Amino acid sequence: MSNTLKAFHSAAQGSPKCRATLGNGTKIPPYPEGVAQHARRRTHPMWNPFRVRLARAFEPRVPRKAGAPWAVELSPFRGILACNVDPKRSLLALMTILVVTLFALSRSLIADEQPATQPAAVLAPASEAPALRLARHDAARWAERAKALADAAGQANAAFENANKSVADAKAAVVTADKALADAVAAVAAAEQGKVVAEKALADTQAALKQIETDKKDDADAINAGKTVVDAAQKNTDTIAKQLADAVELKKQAEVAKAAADKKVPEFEPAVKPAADAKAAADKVAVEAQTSLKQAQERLAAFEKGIPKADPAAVRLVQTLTHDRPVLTCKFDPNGDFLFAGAEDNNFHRWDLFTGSSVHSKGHRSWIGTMALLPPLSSAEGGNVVVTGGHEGKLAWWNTLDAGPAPLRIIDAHKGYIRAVAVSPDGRFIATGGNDNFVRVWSAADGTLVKELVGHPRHVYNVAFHPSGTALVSGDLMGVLKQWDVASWNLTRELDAKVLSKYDPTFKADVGGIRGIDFSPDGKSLAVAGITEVSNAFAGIGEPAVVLFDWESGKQLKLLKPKEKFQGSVSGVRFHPSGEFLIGAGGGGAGAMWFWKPDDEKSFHAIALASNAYDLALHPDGLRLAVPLFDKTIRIYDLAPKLDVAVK
Amino acid sequence: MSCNYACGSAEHVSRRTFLHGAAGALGMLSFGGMVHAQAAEQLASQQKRCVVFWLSGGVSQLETWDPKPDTDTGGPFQAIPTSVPGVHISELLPYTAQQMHHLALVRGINTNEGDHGKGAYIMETGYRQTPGFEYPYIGSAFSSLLTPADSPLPGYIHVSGGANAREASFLGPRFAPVGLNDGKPPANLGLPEGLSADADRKRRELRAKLSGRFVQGRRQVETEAYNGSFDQAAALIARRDIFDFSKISDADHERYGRHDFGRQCLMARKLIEDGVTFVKVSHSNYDTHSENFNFHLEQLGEFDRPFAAFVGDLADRGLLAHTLVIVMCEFGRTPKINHLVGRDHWGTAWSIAVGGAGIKGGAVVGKTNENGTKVVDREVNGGHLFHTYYRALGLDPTKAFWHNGRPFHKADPKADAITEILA
Repeated sequence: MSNTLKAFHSAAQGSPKCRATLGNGTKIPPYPEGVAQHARRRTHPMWNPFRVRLARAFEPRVPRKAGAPWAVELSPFRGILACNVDPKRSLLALMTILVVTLFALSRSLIADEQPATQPAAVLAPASEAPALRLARHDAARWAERAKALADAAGQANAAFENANKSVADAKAAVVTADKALADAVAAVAAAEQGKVVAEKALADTQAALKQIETDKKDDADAINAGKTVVDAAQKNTDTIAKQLADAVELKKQAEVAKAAADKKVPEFEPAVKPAADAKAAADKVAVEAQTSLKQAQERLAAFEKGIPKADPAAVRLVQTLTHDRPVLTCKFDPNGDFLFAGAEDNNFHRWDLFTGSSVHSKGHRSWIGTMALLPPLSSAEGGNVVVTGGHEGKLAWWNTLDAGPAPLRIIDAHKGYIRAVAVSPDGRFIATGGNDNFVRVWSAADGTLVKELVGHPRHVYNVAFHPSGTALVSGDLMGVLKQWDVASWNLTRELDAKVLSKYDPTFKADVGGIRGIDFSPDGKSLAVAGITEVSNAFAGIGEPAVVLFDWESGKQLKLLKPKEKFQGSVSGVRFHPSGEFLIGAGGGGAGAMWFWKPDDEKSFHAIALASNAYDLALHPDGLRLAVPLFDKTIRIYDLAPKLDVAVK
Repeated sequence: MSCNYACGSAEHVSRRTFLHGAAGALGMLSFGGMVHAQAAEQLASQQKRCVVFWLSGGVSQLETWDPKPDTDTGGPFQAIPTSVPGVHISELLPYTAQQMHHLALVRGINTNEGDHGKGAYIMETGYRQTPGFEYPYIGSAFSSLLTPADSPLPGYIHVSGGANAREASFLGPRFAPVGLNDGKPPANLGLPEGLSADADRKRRELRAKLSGRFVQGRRQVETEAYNGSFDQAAALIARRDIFDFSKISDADHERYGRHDFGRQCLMARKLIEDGVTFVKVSHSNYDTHSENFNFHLEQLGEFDRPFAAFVGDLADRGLLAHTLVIVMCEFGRTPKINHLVGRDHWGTAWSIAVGGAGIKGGAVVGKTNENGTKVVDREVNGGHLFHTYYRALGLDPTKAFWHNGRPFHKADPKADAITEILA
């Protein structure tokens, strides 16, 4: 325990709210509010290993004893190391801080030149606690997403209104055409009537003229006058006939116009429903995004007042991603924007957690069963690189921000499956374990083989670096753990987790293996997970178990099991960044997730999962986690206390 | 049969097999000559032998003979080319792939049976199980048809231990399997301590005399079998050297692998060389309801090398042309990968491999659909397989066994041989 932490202890003695537990099982007294936050910040995982800060920032909450040293915190890739700087070395420490800060700053400047796919949201200052920083990031991304979806909903609404207007216009045109036709019909009728009248008048005048020509054949004037009248009547008749013809023509046109108008309505009408559906869909996602935004904003507001403790009792499903094959492994990206996954297919999968969009990229020739993220400084791509291990034995590097990721590099790493990939805290090394019984260490920067570690007699199931970066641990099918010195790559010692392996004489096969592995954030404990007490290897009947070791002595501290009887296996195990509890995910007959305190062999909480979990990944905020499942989904759970509780 | 031992082609008569053949022929004559009712058939099938590799629990066809890489059912393994151009099998069988020219694949099996016992019955008898009656199992049937009547050797040896007398059914205990538990010969092959060979001989003579008097006028199947078993035991004791596996070279153990299955393959090789008619080698276990891929890696990793070495050695020694090799099990495994990353029982669309005597090496018959869920070409069942085995061994599958005056067809009359894979 660091001096700083001891100081917190003494400051907190006597408080009634005793909840915290150290990784090695020691109960520690409760922290006063500010101290607890400090302790959490110190143990949250950080993605930037070179983020350096002075614990002085927390000083107002924890009065520093006169003459006590400044505490310098380095936050490596997984977990944080806390160390106190001796006053005599403070100059050296400050110089280190300066150099590293400048270096980190230069890196962050480089990292600013990111591809277009990088979410536009602005990240909070790096010194913020991950939960707060990511809550801020979430809120920004949801704001961006909600706006985009609101815009889309607006467009869908406009399109819907357009469609409606088109139909209304067409209907109005029908009414107009109807009226025009009726008018035309009336005009024809009137003209026909006029024609009858005119023709009668013409006949009458012609008869009258005939009478005049008979009666007054010598009266030229009268005859001429009669002729004039007849001519006039004839003209009138002709005019009216022409008018009738025109009216008939107009009627024809009106009929054509009406037919055309009639056609328009059914032409426009079908577009209305899809537009309405599209509008409803767009409205729905916009409302959902709005809800998410509201939640994210509330979360941020709450976190700004005080970052809550992760609470396993509050664990709840918050998001479900769906795929077309069972999913084997997953990891969050450092900003919580993406989830990367490997499944029972040959693709590298990337989901955008805010848009739900996904990309599935080719590269491997078999299933991806394991992956790890490189920290920012270990690659030219600025911290956006994932390394994946395939069942065909290939190791691939991916730039996770590529629009359609293709492997940056792909190498033959093992004969048979790569069962595990781990990255050293400084990002220099990638360790892999495979079915060829080898552990191999690769240069993260260029993929060259650094060292081949020989000694496992059977398939290597897992590898992990100690948070200090000084040791690598590998575990095999037989439950044997080997510790390798990172400086010399010599075998340092072996740890015995054979309780996680068994030879089944009925089926004549070894079953078990180190299926999950994790170090406590303080590096004092090692947890390995799998199956024990196997009664039927080929039906997978046994008990899920986590073996907890004291790292310093190598002694087995506890054998953690579910409190309620359960048949199956633990596939993934993680220490919570607080070090206060462990999480295991797995299954057998059904899927399950368990929570253990390091000093209690029985789980203190458990939930059922929709189906068997094959892995477990922690969100960088330390409050959320993801499980890839047999049922072709990845489910994301939240451990943050419900907000109304948190706000209090 | 295009070429069996009797054809005498140089390529098939190694010195060793010639000597074995000659010894067998002499043995038959000395034991009373060819008086067996099926003498004519035996001539045709002379020197034919059979080895069954029984992959207990049901090996996955997708991880062996009918891989479907890059499909939803295919699993993580790739398909690899074999010594036969165009034929691919699972990458879990790299050594076997190099012997593919000696093997034929039947990829369209539909036995429609997902029960271990019933599936085994179909695959070992060629018939679906019916209550109250049992057909002789493959080992008993072939040893009854192929073993010279007076051979001193057991006709059917199961080198992996476990011998169920039930398998002989009406053929009688003479053809029941002899199990070599843990590679050890049957118990009590040597004389009890303190009993001299001379005393033993006198003892047996006395027994024979008494028995001879007893059977006069009451000769029956039972008395025959009873006396026969004494004769067989005596003959076997005389040939107990066949169970001496200590002379197998270290290099061979290295090649076959230093594990039970490797040793058992070597034992099978020796027994076949020594003239045993039928040898069964079991490899356990493939009933992988969970972790199908892990366990297939483990089990096939053990199976592949010794099996391939066995086939190669038999071919090199000229024995393969006379020995039918069958790799089979109760059923295949489901194309669907379950929640424990396992595969379950599946008799609907699966495969076996056969090779050696009478089989066209490299032939592939039958086809399943893209993801292996259905047979789409040349569907066959246990009956077809048995017709094929019989024909491959130069035996007539349409003839019947007679029991209690009733004929029992050797192979299901509703099926016929898969001629595409017959040489």
